[in-house]
Amino acid sequence: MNDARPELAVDLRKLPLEERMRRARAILDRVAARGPDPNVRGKTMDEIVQMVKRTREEMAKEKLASRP
Amino acid sequence: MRLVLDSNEYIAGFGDRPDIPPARLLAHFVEHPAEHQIIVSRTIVEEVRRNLIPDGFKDFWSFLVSFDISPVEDWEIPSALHAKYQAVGLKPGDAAIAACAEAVGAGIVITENRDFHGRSGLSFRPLRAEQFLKEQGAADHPL
Repeated sequence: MNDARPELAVDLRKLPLEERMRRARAILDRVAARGPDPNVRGKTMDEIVQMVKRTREEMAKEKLASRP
Repeated sequence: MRLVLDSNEYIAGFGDRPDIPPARLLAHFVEHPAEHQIIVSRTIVEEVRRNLIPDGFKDFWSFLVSFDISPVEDWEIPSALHAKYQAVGLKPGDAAIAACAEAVGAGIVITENRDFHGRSGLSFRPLRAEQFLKEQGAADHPL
């Protein structure tokens, strides 16, 4: 396999569960090391919920508007 | 059991501190991957994409891939279920999540969205991350 080739989801899904969980753990470690997302930093859980609800209702309106 | 995690859990889990319940929830699933089947809808994927920086979204997507999760497409969810959940008082966007949960036979939706909690007429139990972890005996699960 060419080492320069990116790892694709179709290949990663074929890995054994143990290896996939090792990678999932590494993802969570990377997230923790990166620190809070600028869109989320300093927000309370309720503010995050409200942020998502605004997105959700925007998307619902977009879907309605796109109907023929 | 099949579970749906609402977008707010992923956005807080991937976007905020690792010690909060949504992040501990994700860690719990990594430690117990065979206990539950996590279901995600295309709508949830898009909501997460719109609210996290690209690196955060990439980690979210890679996490789903690690669990071999493929999104349920919106067109797979019967429109009658959307109507059902709007009729019980959910807003259209929330109704879409509830409709997905019922369509896939999810027993629990994990969400911090108060509009789901204490509402009758749902085919699933809405639980907050902390409640779910407590039921799993993992409220104090170390990272």
